[in-house]
Amino acid sequence: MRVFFASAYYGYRGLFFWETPTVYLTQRLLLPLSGLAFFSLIGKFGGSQPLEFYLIGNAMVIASLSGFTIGTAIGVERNIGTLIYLIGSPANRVALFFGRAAVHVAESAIFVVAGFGWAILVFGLDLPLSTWPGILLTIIVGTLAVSGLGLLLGAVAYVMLDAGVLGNIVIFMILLVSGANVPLSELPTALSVFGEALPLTRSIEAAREVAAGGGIAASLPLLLKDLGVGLAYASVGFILFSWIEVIARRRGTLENM
Amino acid sequence: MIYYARIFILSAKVQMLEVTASIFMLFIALLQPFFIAILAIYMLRDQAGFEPVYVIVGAGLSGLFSTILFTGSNSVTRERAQGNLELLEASPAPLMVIMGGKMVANLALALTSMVVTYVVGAGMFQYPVAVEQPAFFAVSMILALFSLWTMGMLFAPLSILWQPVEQVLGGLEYPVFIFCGFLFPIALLPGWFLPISYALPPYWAARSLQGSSLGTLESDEIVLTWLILLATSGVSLVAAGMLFRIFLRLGRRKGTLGFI
Repeated sequence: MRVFFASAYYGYRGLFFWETPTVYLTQRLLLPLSGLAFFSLIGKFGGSQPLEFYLIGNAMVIASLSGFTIGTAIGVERNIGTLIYLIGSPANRVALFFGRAAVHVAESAIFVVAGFGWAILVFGLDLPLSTWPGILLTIIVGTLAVSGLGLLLGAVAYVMLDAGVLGNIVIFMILLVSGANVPLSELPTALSVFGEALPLTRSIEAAREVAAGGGIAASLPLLLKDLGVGLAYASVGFILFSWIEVIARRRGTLENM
Repeated sequence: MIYYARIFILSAKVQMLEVTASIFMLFIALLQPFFIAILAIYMLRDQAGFEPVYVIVGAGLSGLFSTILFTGSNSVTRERAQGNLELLEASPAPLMVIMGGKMVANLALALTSMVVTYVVGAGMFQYPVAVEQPAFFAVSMILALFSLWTMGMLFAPLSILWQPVEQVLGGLEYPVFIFCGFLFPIALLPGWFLPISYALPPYWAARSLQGSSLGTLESDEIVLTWLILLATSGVSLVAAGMLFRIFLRLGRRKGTLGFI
């Protein structure tokens, strides 16, 4: 547990705490909120769905930030030269690996809440008070699920030198095939199958159901499935993490910049 | 003059080698507009009177602008990180000429965004893509590239004094897409946002390119758009010149040009 919390706290503080407030707010808040506005406005201009569809979808997509930051954290460790010490430490790998994600999950969930707040205040998204607990649950589940994918990206970052690009590709894939902007039924079969395999897809659907007054109980099966998908990604990520660690040591890519 | 031209060309050549070796820049120039074009086509294709060329041009412009935004703000930062900024400033060649050459190379990379979005529209989705006013479109493209070059020149000096500018400007990517109406008309925005759009050269670039490709602008309207595009670009260039002069003087005085 000590390693888990130390990994969570120092992993976050060491890699991101030095950012100035301007950089932090621009990258963590302005970028996702303006992304939400951009894609929602495209939808409003000529999309086949009502504006609420795009607002809820893109607010939920902000959760993918956690996947991005978790995934790129390994790359940042490598760039600043701390990765070899991390690998060289005798710390428990499970605690170290999952601890890295903890703060990012909490932080991203807060930003998704900010996204919904932005959608309500600026675009007039109508979310009755009774739906808020359900929306909050979908936000937590969606963020956890996409964090599992982030852990997998983090593992791949051991050998792939530009994890940031990989993370960006994943975010755009989520924007395209998760149902956030285009209903899965309107996508070609291959893309919709790919969308089903990504985390967040079911959480987005659940959020829309809850917002439409469907209640938490009705959306629980979707949320459990999304949690399962996230857990599957995290497990594969952990296995890869252990395996790639050996390969990266052998190839000497731990220190490459 | 020949001396400056030689530096300009050499700088462009070196920058071209650098940006084409950067995976991140290739992502920004090629993959991001690719995804945005596909996404926008899927979102808008059921719209009554859907115009694929509107999406192709808009998504291409988003790639052009993003590439210039990141490479422009990164140009000085990169020289600083490599320990070259002090040497460049001490050399007899003006830094603005060196950066001007770099920005031309950045534009060449950025232009591939347009090719990518054309391939998405005409190749992947098999839409008939035709430009209604080719001559106007060609002139609009040249002026749009000039305006983006001036924007890049405006971003470049900011990091002389303010190192995190690259991350901060990176956050302005979507706001600029929104204000410039790359993929939807700015009429969707609240009225008080419009003066911001009018002050941005890429808005006029988008207006002239989309207007000429769709044939929705009369010739006098398009000429007026070009004039405003030139005027806003001119203001950007003059501001860039002032920023280079002032920031370099301050950087020398503070001794911070070599700070990493």
